[in-house]
Amino acid sequence: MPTRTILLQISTGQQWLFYGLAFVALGVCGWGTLRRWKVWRGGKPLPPVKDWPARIQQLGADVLAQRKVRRRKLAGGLHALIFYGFTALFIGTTIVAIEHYGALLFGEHWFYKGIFYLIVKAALDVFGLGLLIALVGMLVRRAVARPESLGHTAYDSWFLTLCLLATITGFVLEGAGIAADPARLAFAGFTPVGLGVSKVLPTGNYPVLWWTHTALVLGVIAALPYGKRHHLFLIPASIALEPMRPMGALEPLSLESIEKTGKIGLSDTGELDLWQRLSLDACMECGRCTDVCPAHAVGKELNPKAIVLDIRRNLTSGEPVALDFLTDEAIWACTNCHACVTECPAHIRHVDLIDGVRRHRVAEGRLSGSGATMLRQLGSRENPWGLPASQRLDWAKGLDVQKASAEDGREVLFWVGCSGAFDPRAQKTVQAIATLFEAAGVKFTVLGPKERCTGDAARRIGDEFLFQQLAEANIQTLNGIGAKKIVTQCPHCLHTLKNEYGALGGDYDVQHHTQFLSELVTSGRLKLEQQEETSVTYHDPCFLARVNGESDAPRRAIKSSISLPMLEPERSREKTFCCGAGGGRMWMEEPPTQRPGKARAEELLATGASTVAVGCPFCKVMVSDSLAAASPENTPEVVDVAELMLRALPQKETTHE
Amino acid sequence: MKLLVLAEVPQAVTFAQQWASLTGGSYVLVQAKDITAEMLVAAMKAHGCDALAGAATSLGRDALARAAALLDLPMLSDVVKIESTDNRLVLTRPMYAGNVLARVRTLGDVAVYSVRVSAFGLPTSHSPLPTPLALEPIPTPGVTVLSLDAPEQNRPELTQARVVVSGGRPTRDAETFEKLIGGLADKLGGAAGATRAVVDDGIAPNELQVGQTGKVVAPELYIAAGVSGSIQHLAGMKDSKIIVAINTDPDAAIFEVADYGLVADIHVAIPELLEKL
Repeated sequence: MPTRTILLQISTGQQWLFYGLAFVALGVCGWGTLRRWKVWRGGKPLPPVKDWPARIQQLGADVLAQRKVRRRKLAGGLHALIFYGFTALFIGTTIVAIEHYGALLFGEHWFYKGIFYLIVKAALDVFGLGLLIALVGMLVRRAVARPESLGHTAYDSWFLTLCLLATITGFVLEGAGIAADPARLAFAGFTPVGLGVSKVLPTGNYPVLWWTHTALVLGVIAALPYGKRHHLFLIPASIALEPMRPMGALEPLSLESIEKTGKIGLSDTGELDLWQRLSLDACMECGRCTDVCPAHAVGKELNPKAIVLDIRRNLTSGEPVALDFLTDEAIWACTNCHACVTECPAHIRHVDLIDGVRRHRVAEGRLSGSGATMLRQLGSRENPWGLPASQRLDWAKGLDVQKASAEDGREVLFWVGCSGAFDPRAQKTVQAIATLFEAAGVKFTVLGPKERCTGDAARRIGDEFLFQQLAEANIQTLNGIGAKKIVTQCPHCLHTLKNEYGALGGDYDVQHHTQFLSELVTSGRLKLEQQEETSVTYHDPCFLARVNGESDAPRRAIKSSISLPMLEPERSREKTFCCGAGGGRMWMEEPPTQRPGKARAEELLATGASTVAVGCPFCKVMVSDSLAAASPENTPEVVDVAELMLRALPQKETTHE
Repeated sequence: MKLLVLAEVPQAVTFAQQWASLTGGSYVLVQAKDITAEMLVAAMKAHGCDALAGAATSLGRDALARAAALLDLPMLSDVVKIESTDNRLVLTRPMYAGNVLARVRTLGDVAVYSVRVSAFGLPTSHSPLPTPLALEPIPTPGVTVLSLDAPEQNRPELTQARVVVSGGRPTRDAETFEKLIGGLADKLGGAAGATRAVVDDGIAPNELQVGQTGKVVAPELYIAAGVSGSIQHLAGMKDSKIIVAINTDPDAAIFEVADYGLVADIHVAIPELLEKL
């Protein structure tokens, strides 16, 4: 019967010594993990944690399945090998412990034997080998490749070396066990690495090897939580406790809270809640956030990882520290594209932190220039360009567009948005959408002069009160006409109406026009004839692809309009690269060399497409301007997906062109 | 009641005359050259003035608001009308980006006023107006002027000009820009403006940028040459009285807001126009 003797040649005295040392190692580990307990508890308390099924699912995906870690193929793959390797070894050791203590009741070899034993042994051999390879890989990465965004301290290499030595001695011990117990040779083929080691190993002193391995393993356990490696415990805790608000939906600021605290937004570290502190401590300094940051990529001061580390460092004292160590340049450079949040394996919400600081600085009057002008116009005229509401239906000249009322019998309410109403480029988009609706027989109405900015522009830039004022007025209008289904042309309107109005009493079924239009094509209501002449690429808007998880519908819509296969830029779908307009940047000036749109234009030009399709009015402006600057001759045309669909609409009955 | 008046433009004196006839008080005129808020405050003390007024020009907006803060007086900016009701001064001024006109009163009828030049005519007077007093220079505390590097101004300032000629990307280079846009602006006695793309390409200096992130202008005549009419540009010139657009693309958005449109190449149309003017 295949099995092995546990604690072979280890005397009872030595066993007691082992238990004593193990107790110390676990104590050191436990203290290290919880050493920041006071910092966490010093945070604002969390609301009751609910929705456990969703949280457990999230833990399964991001911890067990390593979903976010794997977004990086090589480093993520190595990480997965280490994670699964240690997990397998932990399970293996637990099985041995169950056998060992169970033996007191059921006699030796009651459980860990036979086929089960062989499977466990084989698994440990394989996972151990994977762990060994990955540890070597990580050491090489730190010693040779040394990615700039990755944090590096001597402890990192030191700890990896300790793990590597523990793994190697584990295999040596396995070989020594086989060599010392001839009965195991018969089935040692199940542990090829152990068998191999046993053949080259000089007949060793088993207890010495056992103690070496044990000491190293206890060392790993004790050293584990230090030098940011407590991420092992803190990331699952961060994921389990994170707010259930969808990504990009900011927490409403209540007047009561301001009256109570006298504070607006994130003024100092004392305003950070328990979860935010936990998530900041969980940061493993992998630097992925900074790698994907469009502002950082064009040389701006913003560095999401530095923001995390700076705040974390200032939490240590336990006293509230003003967040003035975050510079205005960095705070206003953020486009709210959420690339960092999407990448972060620790589920840190960098954008919420940045927008929280913005709230404070706007309340303090620290925003000036064209961004502040936009807010003033938004406050007085309820659209960012300060144009009169009476012109909101100018785009619909020559089209049959009806104003919404409670009894209009509409199928959808078409939310035109300020850009659709006023920006000549976006007007073409909304004209195309209206024409397509008409062709598909969709009964739609619009709010016209009663529509206001959703407040997105105000909220992202940090003017929470203006946002709430606009949102409440819109909700009153929308609820007044009994709005249920809403279609928007702008991903920012989509996000605000869909994900943020709920908290203020506005619950609607909101879709982006590419979603609704592609459904019309699928259901056969909208009949298009694929066009042949253009080669098309598509620029995913951050707020559609990343923040609202929709990158298929626009592609389906494009496919229904052109017969050629679509060309994909280097970064697409939820990895898309920001045009530079988000987070209020649309209204702020920046030198031409520091425009994310420029970098994006190069990528779009590299596809060789003659047409760049977009799904967002701000992307349309930024991408058009950037392409014109990057390629003054042969500038690709920039059209909304809806305009492409319009071209594929049979019978030329379009009245506005 | 005594009013100190920053006599930068004659319209400020008109306001002062109306103020004096409504309150029965008198006024003192002071010169505007190199004025600072501190000098105004000192002059008010020296002449025993209660209130302060001036035109809502760049200088007035700056100095008057600072003086109001130093004096701890209410500031009423962009006043377009002054009247008296029940022996109290009532001033009319635009609010909410000009969407409403508010009639306001201040406690004790003393305040600092900046008045809209366009709302007040030239002063009516049978006797010659008193010469504005020159004030002793007092520097702004905490500010030392090291040097003054003002670009040579041979054209009116963009935001003040009655005519603005703006060029877009088709102006190609600085020389062509100066020849076409600058040339036309000079012929019309106006200022030259540019789109962001032109400024980005270094064709025109930063100060000439018209638009959302540049200068906001509202001249009587705005000529957009080779400007496509993006929303960012429109945001900076939409309030112009008469808009003329020249563009080769008949679908260009600028034609939507233009009162007069010419579908033509600016390299052909503007030289022709210069010849005929």
